Amino acid sequence: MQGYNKNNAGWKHRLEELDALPGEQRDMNAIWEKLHSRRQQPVVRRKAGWYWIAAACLLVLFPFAWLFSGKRTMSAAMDLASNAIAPSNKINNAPARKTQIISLRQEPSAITIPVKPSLPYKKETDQANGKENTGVNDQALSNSNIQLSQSFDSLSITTAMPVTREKMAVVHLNEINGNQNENASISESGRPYFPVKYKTRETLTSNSATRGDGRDNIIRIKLSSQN
Amino acid sequence: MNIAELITEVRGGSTAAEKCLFDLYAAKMLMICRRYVKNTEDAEEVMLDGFCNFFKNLHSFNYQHDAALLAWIKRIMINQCLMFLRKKNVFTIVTEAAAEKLSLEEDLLDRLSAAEIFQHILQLPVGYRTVFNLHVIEGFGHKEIAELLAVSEGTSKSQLSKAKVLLQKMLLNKGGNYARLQQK
Repeated sequence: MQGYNKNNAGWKHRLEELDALPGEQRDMNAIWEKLHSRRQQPVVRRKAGWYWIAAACLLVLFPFAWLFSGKRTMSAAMDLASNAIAPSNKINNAPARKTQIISLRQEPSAITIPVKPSLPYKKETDQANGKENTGVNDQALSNSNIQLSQSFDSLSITTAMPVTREKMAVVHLNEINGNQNENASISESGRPYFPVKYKTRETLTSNSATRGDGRDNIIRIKLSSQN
Repeated sequence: MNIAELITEVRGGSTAAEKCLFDLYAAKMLMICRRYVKNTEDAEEVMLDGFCNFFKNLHSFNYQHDAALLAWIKRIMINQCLMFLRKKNVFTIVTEAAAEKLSLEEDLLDRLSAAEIFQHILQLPVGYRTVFNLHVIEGFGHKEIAELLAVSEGTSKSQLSKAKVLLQKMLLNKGGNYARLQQK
């Protein structure tokens, strides 16, 4: 307190001794009650304040975290892409890699067709060859498994079908019946198609459409109300 | 019970001792706060905050004598007042005009009562009043005032000189009126 001036001591001392202005009295007990209650409150108020701050931080941080997590993935992908496109920007000036062509390997597909069990399963013996004639083409059998499905009380045939093969290895279902002439029909393009009866539905399998233009191999199934 | 014993009891957690200390200093502290903060309600709030700080920090206070405790509690109140004024942003930053070399006529002040001086001080603008209180009444130097109010020393001097001019004008008017009243 460098600016202390002893000359001011007289009126200053009087000013300091002043407890209240004339005609103005304050209720000190009421002020004390206020002070006492205020000294009790702060701990609770501070705790509540911290909870509010924490809640606000969470509300702010969650959307940001969600937002930036997506962007990080995008930026990483963009970095990879930019590295692949322009590797010459690097200092070592390495030659760009050739584009790697990945050919998708076509796995053989399998179709399971439930067959009505009432179809007669003929077991004949080929007299000439001395083999059992089951009524099923041997080549077709080699590619197929015949299982008895108890739940449907029917035979289900699983056929392995390599998609890329030009000629589909399809089991001719009518051959199971043993009477080809009864079920086989000739389509307009001269290809045979075989109707399969299953309960109330007639399923027609045909490879004529695929053979017509030779683009793809699909099985068309026609559902009819014929009993 | 003397002040040292009261402090010991307050440190022990006695509310009654706190009340005794409050009764001892509250009136004077309220007047100090009112000298800085014109509004009575605001001054009361500032004083309450000051007493909160006082009781909170009393454990760390090293008691030597009563005057030291009074000086400490006064300093707490003044700091609280300055904080309040800073929060309210009521300081008027004036241009650093050349400080006029003026000396307040002491005899004029001596002729007035403490309440009259108090009322005149309250009529000063907040910036003038604060610097006047700090320099003339509390005895702070301009360097300390500049640090406390975050202004330059020149500003503090300028504010003080203007406060003195204004106060002297008020006292002269009062003196003139007083002389006129005596002549009648």
